Amino acid sequence: MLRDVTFNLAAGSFTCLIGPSGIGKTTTLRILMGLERDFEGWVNIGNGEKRIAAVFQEPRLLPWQTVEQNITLALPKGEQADDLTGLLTTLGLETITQRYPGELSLGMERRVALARAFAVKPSILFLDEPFVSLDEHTASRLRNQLLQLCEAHKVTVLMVTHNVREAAQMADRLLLMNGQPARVIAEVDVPLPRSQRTASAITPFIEEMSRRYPETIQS
Amino acid sequence: MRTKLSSQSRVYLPVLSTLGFLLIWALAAFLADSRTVPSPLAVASFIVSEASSGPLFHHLGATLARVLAAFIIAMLIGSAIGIAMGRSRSANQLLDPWLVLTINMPALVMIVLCYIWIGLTETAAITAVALNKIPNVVVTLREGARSLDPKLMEMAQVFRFSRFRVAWNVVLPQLQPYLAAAGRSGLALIWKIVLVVEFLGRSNGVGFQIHLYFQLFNVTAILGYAFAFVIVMLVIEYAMVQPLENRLNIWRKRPA
Repeated sequence: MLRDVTFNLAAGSFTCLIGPSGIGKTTTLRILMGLERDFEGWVNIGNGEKRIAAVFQEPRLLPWQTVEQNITLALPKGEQADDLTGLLTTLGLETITQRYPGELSLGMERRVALARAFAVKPSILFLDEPFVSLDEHTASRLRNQLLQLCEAHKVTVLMVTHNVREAAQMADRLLLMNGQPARVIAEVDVPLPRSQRTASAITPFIEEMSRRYPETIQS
Repeated sequence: MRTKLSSQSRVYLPVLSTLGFLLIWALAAFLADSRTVPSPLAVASFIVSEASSGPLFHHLGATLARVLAAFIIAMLIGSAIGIAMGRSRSANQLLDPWLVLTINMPALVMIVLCYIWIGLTETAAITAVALNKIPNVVVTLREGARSLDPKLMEMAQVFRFSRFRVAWNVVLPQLQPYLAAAGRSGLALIWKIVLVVEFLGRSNGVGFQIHLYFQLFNVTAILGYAFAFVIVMLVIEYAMVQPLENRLNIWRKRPA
């Protein structure tokens, strides 16, 4: 289902993988995360020990562990998270550290999953539609918190999404995926510094993208 | 007619039903007026005298020790085999015929064979009981291992959980309801089989005493020993098993 999927991620950059649903975006991510063994090809995550972290479509928290335990369990034995309190405060989790995932809303569970991912101080962070099925208000707050954390942690991010507006507002670069079998059909740098990408400022870019790649982007 | 039970009647109903049972028993004993149908009072006074000046605790202790030994062995071996069969298709195909054979083997046959092959020893007794229970544990834990959530395993893999962390924090909590189910039914099954083992080839324990009193046709003593051990099992259930389960299930109790 995938063929000739080739791309590079610049260190510290935020890249979005975008394309129609079912095209193989998640599969690509799973290959990079080491969860898919049945492929031919080559994944290079740089020299030395690189830590990866992920936020899946579902939060994938351990329901029998508290919020705090869920976060600290992802750390190697004996390692303390740097400034865990700061991380929890940024995400608005500081008052619910002793709760269980079953008591939380989906938005809150997603925040915990983000906190877990950043607590391990990853060099690369994989995000698989981390804001899907959240109401727009919650999603946009979570997007801002994510960008804030990425800035602070200098992490390389690859995020899968099918929401072009989300991608255009967050990413440095977009990878467009389509075809049968699927491949990366275009790499596009997003214009404007992130701070200037207001809804109205970014709309012309989105409109141009959907004009140039109507098969790949449904806005 | 369905009505919601008040909390009061929820306490009283079991008590009432127990009293009703004792009443029917007492009435039956009175009507039968036979040595083979002793009254509840006679059985109770036998238990008290056997406990205060007789060998009751010696035999209860012997039986309880066998129950615990066989239980621990059966749970450990059965869980290991069950998890292996649940996780690996080839292990399942390899061991399934053995499982079908042993699960259908009558307890009595296994006990007699163990006594013949190993001898009339404690090892033979506990082996026989454990062998009877292992297939049930295997079946339950195989189901548990099959139901492990692959999504959580993937999460653990991406975050590079150590083997110990995967086993202790990811797998074991998912298996806990299956372990509890196997343990619950296990304890009840094992103590019944232990009695048969003692009946056939041991010189102490509740089963041995029942054998003795069977030859004397002393139904009061037979019922006395049986009820005494049921009480021991009830104490284990309410004082140990249930508090432990409540502790492990804290995270389930609170609704979202």
